[in-house]
Amino acid sequence: MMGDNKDWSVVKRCLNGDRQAYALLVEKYNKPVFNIVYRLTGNIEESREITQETFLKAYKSLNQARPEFKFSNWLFKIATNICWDQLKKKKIVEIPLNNSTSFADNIMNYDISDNSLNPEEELIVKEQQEYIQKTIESLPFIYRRIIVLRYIQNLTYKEIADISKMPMGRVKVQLYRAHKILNDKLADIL
Amino acid sequence: MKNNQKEVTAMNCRRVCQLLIEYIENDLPLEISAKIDDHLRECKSCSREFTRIQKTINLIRKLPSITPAPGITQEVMAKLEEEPTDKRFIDKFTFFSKRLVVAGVTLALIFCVLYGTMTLFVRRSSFSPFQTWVATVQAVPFDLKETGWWISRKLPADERLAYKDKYVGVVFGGILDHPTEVDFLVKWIRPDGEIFKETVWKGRVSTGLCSFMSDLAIDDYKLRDEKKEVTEAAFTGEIVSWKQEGRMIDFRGSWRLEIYINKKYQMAFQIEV
Repeated sequence: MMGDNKDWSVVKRCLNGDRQAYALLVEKYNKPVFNIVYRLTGNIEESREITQETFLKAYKSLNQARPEFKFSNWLFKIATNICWDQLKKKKIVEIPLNNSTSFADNIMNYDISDNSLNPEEELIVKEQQEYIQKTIESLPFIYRRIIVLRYIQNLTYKEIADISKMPMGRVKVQLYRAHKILNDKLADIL
Repeated sequence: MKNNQKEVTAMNCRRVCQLLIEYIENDLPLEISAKIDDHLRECKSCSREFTRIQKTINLIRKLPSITPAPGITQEVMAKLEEEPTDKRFIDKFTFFSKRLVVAGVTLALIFCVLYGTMTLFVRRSSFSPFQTWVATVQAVPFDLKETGWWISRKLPADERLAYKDKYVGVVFGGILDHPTEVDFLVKWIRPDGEIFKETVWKGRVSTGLCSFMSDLAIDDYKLRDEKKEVTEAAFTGEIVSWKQEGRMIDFRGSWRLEIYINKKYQMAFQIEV
């Protein structure tokens, strides 16, 4: 598995004209980028387009990338910025949640990592996951981003601060506010 | 060290709740974690909050990783093939690009200085159809509508919002010597230039003194899209208002409040957030 130093040596090869080397980076990071984008947008097709656009944009700006930071985090920064631009173009809409109480009644009975679930239980787990995804999508973008980067991508506060271009203290404050909103929205199932 | 001492000695519920996320993630000094342990043992409310946050984190962390359909690498590389490969060409293009950007930025700066200078003169000229006209911005630590806009401090242009301010509003109006059809617009513009909120009053204003207010709760994050029909002696018409998702306080910097009458720009205020 390539370490971060190896990422930058591949970047160096690309800058020296070895375009094909870039495929190594795309292959390595397209899944995490796609996951971040999907959790931010909730749309599979759009996520694929944004993922491609991320790598194309990154390639064109390779000479601006800074080796003191992780290459992956630089990619995530480009991806989240593209998501924000796309969301701004469409009018940002707060997606209403499904407040079906029968769904909420079942929700806590199953561990979603349990592999021994029967089909009905699996369906409930799937619905739970969709409900949580919709809840994340209903957050304002600044909170959505921090929740996804912290809990989906497991980035540190410092890494999130670098990506979001804000002090670490503010990252923590925003995470706290994001949790306050999530607590309200997930009240039925917490 | 001083800050930690403050944390340890003043561990009230509010402070504990603010630290719970870091506590759950083992991101606090041991001394403070121990104090939070003690507090959670005694406090049911904070203990419930701890459980909620922990459950939220677990629910999100357990969301499955999505594997995209194969082919992204090939698609990206195919699109890159369409890009020019000649390094010298790219270097030249980059060189010209930079010069164009510098030229563009310089022109934009000159334009802004000229526009800003003109604005100082333009905004105090005609406010047709009003005989006289006044506008002011107010910031208050409470709901403007509930307590009346004539109380509390008024912000002159370029003033910074204070820590205690909860609402900010622009109040404007004047005297009409005959009933008039009006079309007022107030735009709230964020430091990055995006319009955050707009309010439009369209209708008929009666003779005499009339005043309008567009206000914003600085901590309100909800999207709003509202239309209201109004039938009063002073104003008959509709008020249409929309607001983006997000909080005013999350966009630090210089906000601009622009006032338009009958689609013509009249004046603007600047508020530092």
